[in-house]
Amino acid sequence: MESFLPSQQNPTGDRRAFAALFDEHARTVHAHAARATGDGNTADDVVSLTFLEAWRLRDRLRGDVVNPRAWLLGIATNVLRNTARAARRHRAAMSRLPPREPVPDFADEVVGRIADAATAAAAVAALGRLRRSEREVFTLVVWSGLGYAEAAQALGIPVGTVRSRLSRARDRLRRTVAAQGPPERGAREPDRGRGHHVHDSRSSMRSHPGRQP
Amino acid sequence: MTTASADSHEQDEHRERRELGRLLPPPPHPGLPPGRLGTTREFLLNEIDRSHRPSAPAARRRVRLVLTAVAATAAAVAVVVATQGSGAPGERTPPATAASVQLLDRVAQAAYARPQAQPRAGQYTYVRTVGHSTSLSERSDGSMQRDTITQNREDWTPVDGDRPGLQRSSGGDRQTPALHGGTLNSPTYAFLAGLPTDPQALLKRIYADADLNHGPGSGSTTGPDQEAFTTIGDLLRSSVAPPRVSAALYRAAGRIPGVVTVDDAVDAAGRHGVAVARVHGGERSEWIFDRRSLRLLGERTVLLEDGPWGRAGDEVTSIAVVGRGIVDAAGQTPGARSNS
Repeated sequence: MESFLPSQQNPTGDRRAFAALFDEHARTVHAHAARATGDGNTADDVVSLTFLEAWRLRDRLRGDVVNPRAWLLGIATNVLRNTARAARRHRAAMSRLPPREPVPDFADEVVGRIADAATAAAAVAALGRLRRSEREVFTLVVWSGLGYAEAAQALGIPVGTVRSRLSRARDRLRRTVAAQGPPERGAREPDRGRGHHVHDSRSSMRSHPGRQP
Repeated sequence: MTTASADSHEQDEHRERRELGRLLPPPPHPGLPPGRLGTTREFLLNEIDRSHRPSAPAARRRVRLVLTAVAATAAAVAVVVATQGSGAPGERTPPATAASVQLLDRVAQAAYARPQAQPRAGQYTYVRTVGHSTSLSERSDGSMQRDTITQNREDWTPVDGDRPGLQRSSGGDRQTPALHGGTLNSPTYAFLAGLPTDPQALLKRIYADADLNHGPGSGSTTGPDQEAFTTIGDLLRSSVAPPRVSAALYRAAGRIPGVVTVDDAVDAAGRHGVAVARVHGGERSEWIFDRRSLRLLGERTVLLEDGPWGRAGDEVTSIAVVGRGIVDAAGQTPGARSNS
């Protein structure tokens, strides 16, 4: 079985292997979080928290984990489920996160992006009609391209459960589409932001634990 | 895995996946400004280096010592608050004190009896808070810098979570994502209205969520009891719930081990009151109530020991609720009389 960290604990080797893991999968995690939330700034924080969690749990990379992409997306799913708590767990680290230029909201970007923003918002809204358990399986399999077995691994559930959740998701989405037609581009009014603001979740994540919006 | 049945499974999978993709195609990835992930990468590698440095083992040690720390905290509660007979560090945190259960029960009765309009679909819940929290950041010489961050803001949340909300602070206005069904951690009024009003059932629900991330084997230093206390505190402070649900939340809190009372506490708006509190990890989190109306004034966290977050007695977080109500539109504020 392939091991994704040196089999013996070794600071230099662990660090190097972890950097490689980040280089290979950070973009996937970011895309997953951005699609699931429709918010690029939140996705940034989800990436940080996912890899902080991965580092905390890194011993599993010495044997248990067979598919690091599925494993990381599983961690990201937990972080998305409860971003405030993940942030509390890593509050000291998050308080050291260097200030970044805020990513403009979708709608603040160039004109061509506004349609994308509306599509993303419409997709997130459609996603909201699914139960959380269905939503998680759906985004992992359909949007982020995990196989059923990989999604099962990521979520720690049997493959049969992945199938049944997807089938319920399909039924629900079919009913929605039948009732309202498929999600259209530009179906929703994009946010007309009044300016560029740092996503507030960051300031609360970096500070002493408080509630997330 | 090259049997015929595995192959046909694979084909099914492809077909189902394609169909699902047609029903709700993946939205475009907003993309990343150049260098964006580079900043995150550098941050993470710095964190890794810190965790290997002999000067920063405290956080890691805390993870491993979580069980003994909880026991020690329990002992500290007994000593500091001096209500429990047993001073020896036992296996379990003592149950909530009789005084705290009584106070929470009175608070629950008051919450239940307080008139509150039933919101209509399409309306917004409004909460205005003032206060501060603390952040730690590392200076270039490796020492830590502590800053106080102002947390004054107003939040409008759609009752049904069907539309985006609005958050207003000195930084300006920001649209917050629609919450849809809502969760314990991002609740809508409709979600809260659906919670059990039996305190025991409600607590069970809250613990199920707390155990998920802070239960045995999670490596969490927070632990399910503190997490449940925090979750309830967050719900009570930052949302508007039907009175029967608020009452159940207060009574549920009285069933969390380690809950105590504090005779005098002051909120971020300078208002004094009586508090229900829980000590964890060298910090005491207090929910402060007006002595007469028993309305929740605010919440604060006070350090009980010197540490990187400050000295014993310092407030690391203090948030006062100064406005609350139900309004027709985001950006609207309720009249002073609905300020409950």
